[in-house]
Order: sequence, then C-alpha cells, then structure tokens
Amino acid sequence: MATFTATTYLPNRFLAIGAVNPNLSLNFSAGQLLNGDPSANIRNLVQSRLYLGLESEVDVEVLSVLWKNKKGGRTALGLNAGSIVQVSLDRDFLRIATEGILPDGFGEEVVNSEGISVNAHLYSEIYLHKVRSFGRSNFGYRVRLVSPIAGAQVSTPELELRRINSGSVNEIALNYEFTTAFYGVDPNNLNSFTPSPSMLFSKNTSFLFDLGIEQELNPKLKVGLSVQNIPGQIRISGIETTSYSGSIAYTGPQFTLGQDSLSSVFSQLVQFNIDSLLPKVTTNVDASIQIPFKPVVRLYAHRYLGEDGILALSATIRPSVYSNDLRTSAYVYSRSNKLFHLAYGLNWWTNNNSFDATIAGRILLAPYTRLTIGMSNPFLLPRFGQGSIFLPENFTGFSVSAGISFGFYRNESL
Amino acid sequence: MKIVQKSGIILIGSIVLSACSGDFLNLSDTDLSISPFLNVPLGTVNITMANVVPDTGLVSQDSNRFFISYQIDSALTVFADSLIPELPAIQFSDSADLANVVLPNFSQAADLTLGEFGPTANLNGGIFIFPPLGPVYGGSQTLQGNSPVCSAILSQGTVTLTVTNSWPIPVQLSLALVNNSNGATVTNFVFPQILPGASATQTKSLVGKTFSNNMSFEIINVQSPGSGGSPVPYSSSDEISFNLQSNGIEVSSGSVVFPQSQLFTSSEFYDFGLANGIRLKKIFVKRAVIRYQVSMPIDGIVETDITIPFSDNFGAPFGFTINSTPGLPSIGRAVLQNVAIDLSKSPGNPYNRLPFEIESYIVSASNCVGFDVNDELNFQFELDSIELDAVEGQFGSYDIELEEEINLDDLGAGFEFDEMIFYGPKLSIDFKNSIGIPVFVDLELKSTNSYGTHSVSESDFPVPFPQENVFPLLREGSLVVQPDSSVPFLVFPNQDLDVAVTAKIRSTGNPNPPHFVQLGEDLNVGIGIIQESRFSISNLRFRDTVGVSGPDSSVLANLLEAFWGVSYQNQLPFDVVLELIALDAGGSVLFAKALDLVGLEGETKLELDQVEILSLANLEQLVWNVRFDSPDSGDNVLNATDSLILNLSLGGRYRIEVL
Repeated sequence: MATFTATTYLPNRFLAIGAVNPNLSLNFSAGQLLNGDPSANIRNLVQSRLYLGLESEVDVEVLSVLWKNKKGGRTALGLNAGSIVQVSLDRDFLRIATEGILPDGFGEEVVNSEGISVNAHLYSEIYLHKVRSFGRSNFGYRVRLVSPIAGAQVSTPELELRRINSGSVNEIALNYEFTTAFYGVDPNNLNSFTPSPSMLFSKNTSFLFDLGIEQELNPKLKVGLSVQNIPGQIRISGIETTSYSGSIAYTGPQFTLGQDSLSSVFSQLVQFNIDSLLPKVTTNVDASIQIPFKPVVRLYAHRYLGEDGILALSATIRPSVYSNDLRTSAYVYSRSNKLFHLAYGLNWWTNNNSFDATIAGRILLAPYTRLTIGMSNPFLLPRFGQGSIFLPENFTGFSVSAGISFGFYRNESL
Repeated sequence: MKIVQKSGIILIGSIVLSACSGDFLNLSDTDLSISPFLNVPLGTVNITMANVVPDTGLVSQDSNRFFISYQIDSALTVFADSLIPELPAIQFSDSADLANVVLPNFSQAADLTLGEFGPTANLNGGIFIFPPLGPVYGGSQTLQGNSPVCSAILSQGTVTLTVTNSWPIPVQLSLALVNNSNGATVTNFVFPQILPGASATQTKSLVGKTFSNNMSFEIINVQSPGSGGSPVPYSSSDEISFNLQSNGIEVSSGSVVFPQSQLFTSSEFYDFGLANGIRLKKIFVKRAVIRYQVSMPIDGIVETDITIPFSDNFGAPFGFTINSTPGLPSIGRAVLQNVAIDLSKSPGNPYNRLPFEIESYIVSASNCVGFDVNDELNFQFELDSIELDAVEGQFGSYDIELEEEINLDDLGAGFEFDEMIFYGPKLSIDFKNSIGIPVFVDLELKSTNSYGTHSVSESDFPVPFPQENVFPLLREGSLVVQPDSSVPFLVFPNQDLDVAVTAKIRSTGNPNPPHFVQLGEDLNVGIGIIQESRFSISNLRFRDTVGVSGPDSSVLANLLEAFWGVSYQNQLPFDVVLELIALDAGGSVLFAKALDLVGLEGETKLELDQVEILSLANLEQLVWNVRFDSPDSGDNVLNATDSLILNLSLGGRYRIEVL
C-alpha cells in the first residue's frame, strides 16, 4: 500500500507487526568494479554513469493497523522506523581520481564535480493513511510524521579543479568545500547513542506526504499515479556543521632570470608550502541540513489476468542530485490459492541498463496470520564464509522484506 | 492462470541460471588501487633579455632596443704632453763695463791765522799799522773734513775753493791743492787781492786728477800792501779760511767709499727658438731651472735682482736676488715652480719670447772699495729642465699617427658559443677631448675574421674641442661608422680589429682666444661596437649546475611514469635547446635529456621511463645546459623585451592504494 498509495488491494482489517525491509542497491555490478583493473573499471563505469553510488534503505514497520470503512475506503495507522544511507561519487570526481587531470601534460581542463555525497540517517515515522473511492476512482493520501533521530551528512557544495598548462598560463587551481554534519550522535563516541521513545517527536519532526490516484479504465485495467515523499526532504535545524573549504591557485614559483638566480629557482622549485593546501575550517553551531527523502513518482497499470492474477507494469522516477533514476518494472502477482500468494517480476534500471529480479511470497501460517517474505535477486545475494565476504559478479544490490500480519483476509479484493 | 504459472517458472529459471553463471568475488582479495596522472605546475620561468643579460656595458639597452655594446675605452690616446712643444734650454748673457762711480759732493776746509803767518807771527793783537807784506811763503794747511775718496783718479768733476779774508789787510794768494799721498799738485789757485772781510771763489776741473783722502793746500805765497799807514785793529787769530767744495765728481778707478748706486740694468726678451708655426703666447711652467753665473770685479757687495716680468708666481712676478761675493763670480740656480709666463709682450714678435730683467746694485759701505772703470760686469744665464703644465698659443699643423690592434676573442660576458656573427654593426668612435686645439681625424677600421678582411674608413672628422681654457674642458663627440651590412664585419671569436687614426692637428691663424694644451687633459679615442640589428648565433651556451636531492625511494616506487613538461612562448629570435643532465653523487650521468624549443610557442615533454625514475633516488646534481642557435640569415632583431617564458610542469602517474 505504501507503493501504490491509492490502491485498494488490501484486506478488510489488517495488523502488521515487525515487518523489515532492508535493501541495498548499487548502480553498478560488483564485477564491473572488481574484475580486472579496478582503476580502469571505474574509468569505464563512469563513461556511462553520472556517478557511482550506493543506496540502502531499511524500513522497519514496527506496527500498523488497517481497516476498511463502510464506503470501501481504507484507513491505516502505523509506526515505522527507518534508515537511509546514500553514498555517491561524482563521475568527474572519480575520473580525476583514476585518470588524473591533464594526463597529456598540456592544454586546459576544468572539472566541476559534485564530489562526494554521503547521507546516513535514522528516523522514526508515524503515519495516517487513507484511501477513498469515488466511483471507479480511488484517491489515497498518507500523512507521515517523520522525526530524525540521528544521522550524518557529507556534501560537496563546491569542487572545481582547473588545470591549465599553455604557453601563457601554467596553473592548477582547486576550489572546494566539503561540509559534514552530525546530529543525534557523537561521531567520536557512537556507543553513547541510546534510543528512547522521546525520539518519536522532536523539534525537527516534519511532515511528509504521499498522494495517489487510481482509475479503473475497464474491469480488467487500472492505471494509477502516485507521488511519495512530498516535499522530498525534511529539514533539520539547530545542529552543528563543519565546512572544510579552500581555494588554491598554484602556479608554482615565478622566476625572472636575471633577477632570480638559477640556483634560487631550483631551490624554490623543490619547496612547496603545504600550508596553502590546508582547508579553512568553518563551524556553524546553528546550521540546518536537508535529509533527502527522494520523491518517487510512479505511473502504473494493473492488468487483471483472470481472477487470481495481476500483471503490474510501472515506471518509477526518483530524482537525485545527479539525475533521475528511472526504473521500469513488470511483475505478476498470483493468488492461486488462499495459502500461498506469489509475486515475481523484473526491474529494469534504465540509467545503467541493469536488471534485477524480484520474488515475494505470502504464506498463511495460521488463521488470520500471514507471513510475507520477499527478495530481489535471491541468487545474487552476498555470501559469507572463510572470514570473508563473497560477492557475485553481477551483484548490484539486494532487497529483502519479511513481516507478519494479522488480518481478515477473507473476501480480500484484488 | 496457466500463463501466469508458466511465466513464473520461466522467470525463476532464468534467475537461477543467471545467478549461477557468475563467479563470486572475494572482497578480501580485492586490490583496489588507482593511478591517476598528477600534473602540477613547477613554476614559470621568464627569461627576458633585459633581465637575463645585465646592463654591464657590454650588453645594454636603450628603450626597447637591445644591443651589444663592446666598448674599448681609450683605445687610442693623444696625450696632451705630446702636443705641448718642448721648450729647449736657452742660454743668454749680458755684460757691461763698470761705469764711473759718481761720488756725492763733499767739502773740506783749512785756514791761515795771523799768528801762523810768519811776518805777523809775533804780533799779539791790538792796533797796528801793517806794512806791506811779502810775497812770502805761507806754509801748508791740511784739509780737514770727510772725503769718500781714498785714492782715485777722477774722470769728472770740479772743485771750488772759496777763500774768505778775515785779516785786517788785503791779501793776494797763490795756492796749490796737493795730494799728500803722492805729493802731486792737483791744481793751483791764484787769487788777486782780496779785501779784508771779502771772499773770492775759484773753480778748477779735477778731470784726470788723482784725489785722495789726504789733501792739503800749499800756500805758495801771500802778499799784502799792508794797512796803508793806518793803524788797524787786529787779532792774532784773524784768519784766512779755505773751503774746498767738490762738484760732480766721478771716479773711473781707484778706491772710494761707494755710495748706494745701480751698477747695471737690463730688460730683454729671449727667444726660445721654436719651429715655425708654433707661437706660444703663454706658458705655465711646472718646473724649470735658471742657472746663473755673475762676475763682479768690484771688491764690494753687489746685489743683482733677476725678474721675469709678465709672470705670475702666486700673484707676483717671479724673481730672485743674486748676492755677489767680493772678488768671486757668483754661481747658482733658481727654480721656477708653477709660474705662468706671458710670452707675448715682446714688441714686434709677441710670442715665444721670454721677458728677463737684470738689475745690479752696489750695496753701500763705509770702507773704500777699489775699482777700475774698465772692469767688466758679466751675467750668464741658462734656462733649462723646463717642464710645462700648459701652453697657450698657436701650435702649428702636423699629424699624429696612431694605430691599435685589438683582438676580440671574447665578449667577456661569460657566454660560451661557437660563433656569433654581427651583421651591420655600428662602430662608434667616441672622442673625449680636453685639448684646446682643432683636431681632425682620419679613421680606418680593418676587420679580420674567418670570413675575410673588411675595411671601413672616414676622414676629416672634426673632433670637438674646448674653445676657451675654462673648466670643464671635456668635449665629447662621436663618429659612427657603419660597415656594409652585407658583410659579417664582426665575428666572434677570433676577431681582429685594426684601428688606424690620423689625428691632424690644425692650430694656425693666430687664434684668438689662443689654442691651448693642458697637461693631463688628453684626447681619448674610444671604440664602441654597437650591435642593435642583425646577428647570427651558433651554439650560444649557458650552463649551470645545481645541487638537488632526489625524491624518496618510496615515492619513486609508486611513480609509474613521469614527465617533465615545458610549454613555452619564445619571442627570442633563437631556437633553444635545453639539455638536462642528472648526475649522482659521484658525478656519473644517471640520464640526459634534451628539450627542443622551436618556434614561437609550443610544448614538449621530457619523459622518464621506469629505470630513469628509479635512478632519481640517487640524484644529486642537475646540469642545465641551454643552447641558443639562430638561423644564418642574420635577420634577427633582438629587443630588450624579448622573452622566453617557460611554464614548467611535472607530471606523473602515481599509484595509490585504496583497498
């Protein structure tokens, strides 16, 4: 229901406890990076990517309650905890790191890079979710009260590297600014972090909204549009940020023969004042940062494959600082019997032209009790052994979900 | 529903197959390293000619012009002392017979009383009737009083005798003036009757007479008619007085008491005997000696004053005094120092003549000095050892030939080169002249180098000169000679330059103000070679060795490749080859590289391979050898602002372990 905000594919009453959904995604495969010369691999990867990134989200649905009202609508209340980890390295940053700058020695090269972006946040969420039906249309919304608990952020507001080596100019210049921010936890003493119920609300508690609309075009086809995580971020204020910035333009010593002796030229050539490279450190004790809850726009269509199956097609767009991730998905949800429901499908990540497969199942463990397990690429999960981690060559991430729910699943609509 | 089931089976199967087809990667075995190219500026070296080549005089700049100026100061010198005429020693003398000595007038006296006179010697006074007396001899009366004559023959003069009769009776007298020294009568006086109380005077010439300081009157006779029978009062002391007065006595020989008097005087001009055309108006004597010998026959003290009139010896005319020793010739010398003498005061020939004045005096004394009028006063002078500081006048016309051969093997700038050709240089002949004489110069420059012999000449160049002898005297002029631009007139090294200068002295026409030459104020001829246009350089080298320390070996181990980059903008009209030689502590060559900087701008790299990179650990010294070559056309123009800008960079691929 979180994905399709306006959907009514829900039981009449529903209580979910301890549903966990960790996922990790890379925009490259492990083999693309680690097979052969990693340095060359990175150079190759960034030729077709704007960045190399890692993204992990862990949603823990602590408790949620759903019920169906008389008019066929749905209402849900829930308590979630979640974490977001996003790491991305800009392609130009990686290209500088692997290729260097001006490798041919002469010319001009100016690199404006997004640098490094790291976000790691832990938050709690209380939400109210409603779905209303108006004839053949459904409208749903979710109001989410999100409270950041702890987190860190590293951003690169500015990273420009300029290298000019021509007959008239010989300069290397670097303008950079890296900003770090921590809240809710002392980075030098992580053990001091202790969760408490008070973390459910704080001065930085913010609202996020999910909206959705669904239209039944004919008895066998529905189309829908949902937008999640509006406005796409929440603001945290009153925290301390530290900025490391510098602006260095180095042309080397300037010598005028006749005024400077040749010996002094070389004696100065071998000297370099490292102090000029040291960044300017600026601390802001009352700063604010934005936690990116990427807006997700999803356009989907559900085609009924008889009474017990649905073919779902969706196109999902998630904007990022680099580009918009576009994922096209197709999956089949099969409800062949009451005990076991199966869903399977494929995701196509258009940006880096990668595929992953997903599979999920629902098992009725006991009356009114259902276990839901799902995962993507189940055979490409990392393996552990011999004190090491083994990654499949095609590993691009994983998604696992598991949870128990209690509900009245009879007459569950599809 | 079957479709769903089949598709699910197919999908799951494909997932399994795709999963199994891949290998697993052990993260702990992953070696993630990157090796980016690092390319950093080492600096910029600006080689601007105006700065590179110091303004040492050899290479100098004027506005934007850059030129090489090779200056040979005082290549030739016309020394002032070579233009100052040499004054020969001159001898000159004068002599004269001793002139008559003019003695001052003097008087002597004697008397004869009645008591001394024989016929009346017994009368005691009273009243007496004198009878006629005589003639009777009256005796001898010595003249009393001073006389400057001890013994001398008089050449001029008279003596006047005044006889006053104080007897009471008239008398007639006959007297003889007798020189008692030789007993000779000098002259006689005869007086007719002299009445009582009356006087009579007679004057006699003394020319040819011998006079002495022991004279007397011999009263030859005395005669009186008596008192005529009448008694007359008388006294025995009544006298007849004799007063002898000399007048204008001149002595030609003898022994006299000389009065103060000028013996000799002379004012003459003596010619130096210089060549025709040389007319000296004024000379400034640095030092000269006047030697003299003065002969004085007088056995007395004589002073001779010598004066050079129209001279200036610290504000007064130069002069000195010779004190003659009695009976001996006076020999001596006088030294002139820093005396200016005007040689233009001789009437008719107002030049080259030394004015000279002699004046001798007899110094007054109380003793008699013997002399003879025929004795000769003799003066002999010699002016020699003349050293002049300066001269003014007219110096005539003559030529001075000067020649200098100059070998220009080296520019003296510390450059090494194989060959440097100057096309169309300007040769500046610089004159620094403090000689106040018109000089015209004929010049011939002959260049001899590996391309042959080339000549260029100029004639009758008027050298600026000071018109008046007023400091500062220095006048400067320059004669620019430009050889044919098509010939390599100057080629370094082994460039010989023969410079022949004829300095034509033209001092004629009785110049006013006069021409002048001052010792030490010379005419210097300098030669400047000015290259401001075209040249050709072959293998001009600059070399330096600097001590450096190589990078740490751990750094080198991760340095996969490296290069030393140079991008340049070369405004210099040269191609430049930069050689880099790396040496270890023992001076052995680790590697040598060369960078060619060709054209106006470009970039080039000096790449080091792995072996060379590792050898940097032993780097101790870097030898830089910069070589300049220009095309042979000689069309290069070098400006002071011409520069070579080298942007140096160090690049390399460095291995960095990430994981």
